[in-house]
Amino acid sequence: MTTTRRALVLGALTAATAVAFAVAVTVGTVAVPLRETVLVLLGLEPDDPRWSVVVETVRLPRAMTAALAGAALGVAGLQMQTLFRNPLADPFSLGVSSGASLGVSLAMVGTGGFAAGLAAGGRLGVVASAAVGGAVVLSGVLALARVVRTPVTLLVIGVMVGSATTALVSLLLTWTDPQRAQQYISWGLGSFSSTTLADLPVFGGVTAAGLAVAMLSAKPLNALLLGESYAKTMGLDVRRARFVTLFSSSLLAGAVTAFCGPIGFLGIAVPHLARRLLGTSDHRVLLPGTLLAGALAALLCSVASQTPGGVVPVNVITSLVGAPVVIAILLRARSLQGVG
Amino acid sequence: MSLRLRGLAVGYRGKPVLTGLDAEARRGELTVLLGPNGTGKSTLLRTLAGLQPALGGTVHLDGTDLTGLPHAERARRMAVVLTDRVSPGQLTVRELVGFGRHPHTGFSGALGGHDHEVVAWAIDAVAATHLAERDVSELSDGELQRVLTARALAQEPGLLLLDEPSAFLDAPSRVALTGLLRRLASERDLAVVVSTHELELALRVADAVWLLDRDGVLHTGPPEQLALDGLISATFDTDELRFDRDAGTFVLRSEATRTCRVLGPDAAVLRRALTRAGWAAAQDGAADAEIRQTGDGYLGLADGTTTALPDVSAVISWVRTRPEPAVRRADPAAVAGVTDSGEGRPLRSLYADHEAIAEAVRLTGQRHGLTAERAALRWQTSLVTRLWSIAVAADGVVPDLDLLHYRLDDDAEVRLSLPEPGGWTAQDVTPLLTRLVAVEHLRPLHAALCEVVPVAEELLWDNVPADLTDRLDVPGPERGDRVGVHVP
Repeated sequence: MTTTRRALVLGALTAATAVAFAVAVTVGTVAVPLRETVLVLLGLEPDDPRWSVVVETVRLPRAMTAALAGAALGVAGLQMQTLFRNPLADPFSLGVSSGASLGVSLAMVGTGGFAAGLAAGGRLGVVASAAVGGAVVLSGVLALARVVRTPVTLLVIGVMVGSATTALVSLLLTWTDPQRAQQYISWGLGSFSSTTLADLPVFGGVTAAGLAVAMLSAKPLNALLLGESYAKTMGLDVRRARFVTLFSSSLLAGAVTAFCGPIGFLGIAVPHLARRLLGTSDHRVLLPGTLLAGALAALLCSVASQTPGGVVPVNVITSLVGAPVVIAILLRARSLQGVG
Repeated sequence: MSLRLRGLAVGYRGKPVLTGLDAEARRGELTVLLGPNGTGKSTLLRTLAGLQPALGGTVHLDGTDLTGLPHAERARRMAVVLTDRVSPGQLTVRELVGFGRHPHTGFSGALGGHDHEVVAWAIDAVAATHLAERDVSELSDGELQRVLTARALAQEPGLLLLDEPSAFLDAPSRVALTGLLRRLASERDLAVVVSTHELELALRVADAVWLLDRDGVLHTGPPEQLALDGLISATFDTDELRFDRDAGTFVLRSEATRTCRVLGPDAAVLRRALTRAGWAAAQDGAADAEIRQTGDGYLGLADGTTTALPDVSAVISWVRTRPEPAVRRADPAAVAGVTDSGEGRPLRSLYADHEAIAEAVRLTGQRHGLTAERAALRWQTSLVTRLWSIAVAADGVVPDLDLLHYRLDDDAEVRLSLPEPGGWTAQDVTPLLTRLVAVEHLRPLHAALCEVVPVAEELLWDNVPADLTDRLDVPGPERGDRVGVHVP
């Protein structure tokens, strides 16, 4: 009964993601006929070669980036919610995105330029610095979480750590050439559009690696649902599980931040959405569900950002949708001890 | 086949809390870990559970050293229920219990056919089959505790450790959970070790007790042995409570100066109420008061008077309002043998039975050829003499004359008996004797005789034996008035 329902939900999510992907490729500032879009996607020659350029170099990377980023943030959020046993944990709220930003800005200052830093081979370096920056912050927050017991306090600490990290970034920026600072600031608004076709293998590769590690950690994450002590008595190597979870979620959040800038709310809202839809916290179902729901949500946000009046930064959309979701969670949760 | 601790030392970061612990918990038995707060019960249990390293010594389960085992291997041999509150989100009971298969499943954690069977068995073992598809967040504390225990059982352990499993439960759930653990231990041949604050319950149901005293020494043995050795008292007695070895329970310690004897089937229960009211229970010997059970309530005996008390709350308010007694209850042994213990009816009911008295007087007259008046006097003398012989039979003690029973034999002679030996004692028993004999008996007797025979009350009084009237505090000509007898 429930198994059937879960299979159906996963199937529906897959179908919806495919449709949203198609819509994301179709919609944009330049009107490309649907038939032409399909032709390009199928690898055929469209009537006008310009359509090919628009679809292949702009829309396809953007849709792919959105799908990957959404999946990555959703899964990273789920991992953190389980690890911290805190329904409000996600890369953004715990300051991991800020840590990643700091890593990026340090890499930028170090390599002599944002564009240069992000160009070609440097991309991998930026991703690595973002992941390291995120991991440093996450480890710090995790250490604090062992002292702080209430989820809201931890969240406030995460926000504070994030603010402090952002302040460090600002400090770095004042000592930086204004043009680069400008580049950094527009990056900081968050966008799925700045990833080029050439970036996709790196972004896709790193994200896929992070997602793969996450998908394989369903069993330890399930054990962690009962808390670390119980997990240990059930035979889990808690330190290893914690390290693997930290590693993959930092990698995912770091990669997304490096390529798209800090994106808020997807990480917090998507796991709740998936839990709602699937009706379970069992990670063997919830992880793939969150992955799909994340891709779907990010694609929808990407589409929504293509307003008739112009392209709106994607964070505007995620915040408009995500903030009410978080408030709803806070209001609904009788006790914030759990992750449900 | 057991859990065996040898020289175990436990503590935090190299600071030992307990050292040199030796104990054994056998399979098939419920072993209860008791100890005051802060003695290190949880530390010991967490160490046994592998949640913190032992600082020394060994822990063997069925001969295998647990400390050297990898996590998963250990989890297949022992399972733990902790005090940690869990709220795992949206999970059914079956899914949560399924997590207990963690150490048995492969990399993906997928459950196979056998795993599903074990999960179903574990849920059934804690009587939670009807909850299997329910969401964990909807369970009551007691249900959740049972489900967490089922999860532990699903690990198929040989040893089950539970850290204060009843801490959040209401009283019926505590009893139910304890019963469940006992059953699991014997039916599944598990070694079950439970730490708890539920002293009395634990001492009743545990097969073995590990008792951590205030000096960090671990005593082991059957609960009764520890009780007899005085270890339970030594560890848990406080200024307010003390362990009653015989009852196996804790009782209020009272600065009781007054004592009360309680007789009858409800005695043990009533004693608790008395202790709470500041009285000590008396067994033999003299007592300040006494409570007896009757067919439809209780009798309170204090200060020479007997009061009917319909229920327990009447008993409690009665004992609370007792003044300092001038007359105390005597040792029943002093009164035993004073009368027969024959059957009969309350003597005081005879005085209302005018027909029986008239018949007795008539028979006496017939037998001895006396007039009605002489017969009444003779019959009275015989009754009062018997009464008096009982009244003064015990030195310094006045038996419960108001509770005497009687039988009339074939010669219309009154046979007296006291169904339960009891009496009063005081420095000066004369006032008591006067009241019990003159007021409780002579006055109603005379009144009844006057009703059935044409005889003057004054005459009846004059015929009361002299050794009796001399002892009573009833002087001279107005004696009738003094005892409240109406003189025509």
